[in-house]
Amino acid sequence: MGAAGRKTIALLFDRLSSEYAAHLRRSIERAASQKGVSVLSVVGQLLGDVDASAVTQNQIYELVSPACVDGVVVVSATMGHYCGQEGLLALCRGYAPLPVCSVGVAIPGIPSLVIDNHMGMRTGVEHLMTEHACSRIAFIGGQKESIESNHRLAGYLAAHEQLGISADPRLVRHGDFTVKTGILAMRDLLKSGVPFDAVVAANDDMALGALDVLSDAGISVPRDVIVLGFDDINSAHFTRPSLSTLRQPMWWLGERAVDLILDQIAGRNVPELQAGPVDLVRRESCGCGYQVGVTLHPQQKDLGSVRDVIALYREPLTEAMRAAVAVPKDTLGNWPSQLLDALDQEFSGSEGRFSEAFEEILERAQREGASLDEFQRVVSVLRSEFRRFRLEKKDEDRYMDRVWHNARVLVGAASIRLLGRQKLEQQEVSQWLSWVGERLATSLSLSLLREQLVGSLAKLQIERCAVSLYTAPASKELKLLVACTESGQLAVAQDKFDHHQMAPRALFEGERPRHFVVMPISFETEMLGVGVFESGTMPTVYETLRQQVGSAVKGAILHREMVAQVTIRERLEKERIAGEARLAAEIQTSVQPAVLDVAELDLAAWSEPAAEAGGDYYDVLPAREGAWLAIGDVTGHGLASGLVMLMIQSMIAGLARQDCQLTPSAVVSAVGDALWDNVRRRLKRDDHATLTVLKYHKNGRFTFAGAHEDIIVWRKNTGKCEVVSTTGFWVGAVPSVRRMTQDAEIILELGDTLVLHTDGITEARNARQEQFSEERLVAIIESKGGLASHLIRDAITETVRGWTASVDDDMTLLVVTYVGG
Amino acid sequence: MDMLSIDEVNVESFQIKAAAEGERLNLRLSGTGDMVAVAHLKRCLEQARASLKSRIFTQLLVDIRALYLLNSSCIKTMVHFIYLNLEEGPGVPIEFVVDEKVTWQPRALAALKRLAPKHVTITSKAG
Repeated sequence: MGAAGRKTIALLFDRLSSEYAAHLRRSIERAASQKGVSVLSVVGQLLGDVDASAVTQNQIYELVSPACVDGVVVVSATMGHYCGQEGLLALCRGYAPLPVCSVGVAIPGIPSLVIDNHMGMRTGVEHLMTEHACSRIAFIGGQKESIESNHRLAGYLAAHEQLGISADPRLVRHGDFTVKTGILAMRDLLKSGVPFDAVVAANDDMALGALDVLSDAGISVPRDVIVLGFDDINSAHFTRPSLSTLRQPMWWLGERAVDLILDQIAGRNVPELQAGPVDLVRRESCGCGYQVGVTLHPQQKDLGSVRDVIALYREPLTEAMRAAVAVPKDTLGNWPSQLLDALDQEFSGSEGRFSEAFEEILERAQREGASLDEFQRVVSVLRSEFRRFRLEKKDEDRYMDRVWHNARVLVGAASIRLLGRQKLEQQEVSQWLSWVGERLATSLSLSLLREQLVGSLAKLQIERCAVSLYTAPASKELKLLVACTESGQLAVAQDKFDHHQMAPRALFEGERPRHFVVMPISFETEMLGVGVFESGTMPTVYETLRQQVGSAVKGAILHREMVAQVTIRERLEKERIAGEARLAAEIQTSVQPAVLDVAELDLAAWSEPAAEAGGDYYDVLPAREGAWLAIGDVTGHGLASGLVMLMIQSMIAGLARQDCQLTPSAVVSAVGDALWDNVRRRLKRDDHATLTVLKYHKNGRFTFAGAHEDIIVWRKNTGKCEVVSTTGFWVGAVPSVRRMTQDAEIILELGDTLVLHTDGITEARNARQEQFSEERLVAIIESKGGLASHLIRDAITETVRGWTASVDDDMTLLVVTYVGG
Repeated sequence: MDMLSIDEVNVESFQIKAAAEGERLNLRLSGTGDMVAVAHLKRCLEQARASLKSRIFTQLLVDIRALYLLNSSCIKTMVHFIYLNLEEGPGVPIEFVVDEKVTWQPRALAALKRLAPKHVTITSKAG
């Protein structure tokens, strides 16, 4: 039992979209349905195709096993173009112990259904030679390795031999059974200049390509060159001129293939080889026009009426009509007999009855996928046969012509309606495919892709489907991405399963046999998963969908990997920044003065780097006559700011120690010049710094220069603070700050306190985003004025820490009280 | 970008509105001038400079009264703008409008005036 709990047959194809494949699939699905059997059409690429992408897709054939099917039909006719009989045999043997049958190529030891390619082609070529007097017939074959093509070539050569006409090897070309290669071969034949009067192709697609080239070259078919195809695909009816061809018995192949598998399952003996007949279909491209059925009587015969003819010749007329239309016997019921009954009633006085019955049969034929065009042949058969009788009722002749005319109009109208509807359907499907493609292409996660697939497949009239992805490269386990039935998304208990199962079993279950298309979900050389879609819509939908889903899955996987990469990089970047911040903080704290010891001054300092440390800087450098004090803040954060701060610290320390005659403005200006050069020109950065340098001259006197935050001075005698603005400009922001930098002076009285700070303190924000502000800083200093410097410092730091929830910027504080000698 | 060729900024924490008033380009900054604002301010000032260089406007007014904060990186951006205006043109007058009741505003911008005393003015107005 297959996955559905009923008999299931796998049908192996190399592609869905050729008319041959579509027709064969339809006939096998139809025959299977009638016998209560499900079909899984497993679609890969040509066996033995060395293209890496094809090799990947062909892994799908390896999934066919007793886990999901009861028998295997291999469409050898097309799959074996590259690998030949040996490759096909290996494939078939690989499915043992499953019953296998080959369609199109006879494989030793494997029950095979073939058509008589040799005899078919020989008949066709002989027809061109005997009835159209052709003697220089070109042959366009398939791949040189193709068994079918070689059989047809042998038939072509045998016809030449039979009729004593020598075949010119210069007139043989090879394509790959596609329209494109038919075009190329025809162009090559014309270019060679070797004369020919007919072209026979090994299939219709290549013949259609040849027709196009001949038409473009102004060569009339069939007047100048006759063209004959092989297969009788749908398009052969509609080309201008319509294509004469050799018809494959597709319905016979479908029915027999299903029977062969079921017989083997039942343990019945089956013949190793069965050959189906090939019919010559004469259309316009060979000059025959429509073939007109059998001939009941070579000579005219006298009879009373139409009704007499029907009564006497019902059976041969029925057979002649049936032969004109290529549908299985039971597909449309006993339609020829119904039509003859209607004709009988028409001539018994029920005017319009024949048209009514004919229209009803055309509708049924359309539903069954038969070619409506062939019913023109039915009219031709009837017209031709009835003309062979001289009727006593002379008026019936004219009436009969009206009946045939009406019937032809009906066929024409039905064909046009059908073509219109097919065109509309194709347009609609094409629009939906484009819509689906856009949505799938933008699904950058597998969960989004799942959602899009659920919505998309309904639009494409695919009710049941499952898309599963491999859990890892080279894994044999699939994990379900999405499964849908007509009732909505399918919930499954086990979303992981062996890949031979192809899809959750529930997908295949149901009261009636269901047919599915099974395709590899791949991207280039990567096998990503398996898609199982219910059969029923146009073949191009499945092939396009397969590519769209493959690309979308790959895109989603790549996106997931990219996100993971980005996450890793972000983490590394964060770690790098954190590392830099730690290093910057170390730089900041390591260059801070270890001891604050200056005569006459009581000093206390505090500096707290933020998480992403900036470049706060303060220094106290005792000198022979007093000391140097400095405070600054480098813009920006991180290691670079820390390094700029280190530059400033080094320069000031060096300058202060070298020359005791230097003024603060000279120091700031020198630092400004050097910083512009170092930072802007060498480091190519745009950092700058606020910087105030103070020189303590003893006896409470300070001179200072450089732009930083205000200097707050608490006066003991008033108990209030004075706010002294710093002037000048930021170092490193402009090439030189000399013009803007001037010295100013502050004199502290005994017990007065001077407070230097960075903006991290005044701009510290609370939960309501309010800044701590200089006013609050002043208020604390005034409330603690007169206390020792470290107590003032502690009061400030405690209040600021209580104010702000998180430290966003470095905070630095230097409290200096003049205590005298 | 509107007809002023300046993108208005309207992110969660920071906004810039641009308006023309005769030959003067007015930029009104509001919100929080923190690290998030830096890139927006930089782009806006670059666009403003392009407009000023093309002589669409001959004056610039930057109103910061509705700002809660202007951090050093934002100020650095303004410094760069003023420096380029001065050194590479067009050398237009720039007026900063600050809130007379918000003490940090004139203080934060004082250095800008020192950078270009002939070109930068700071005007205190009611918020």
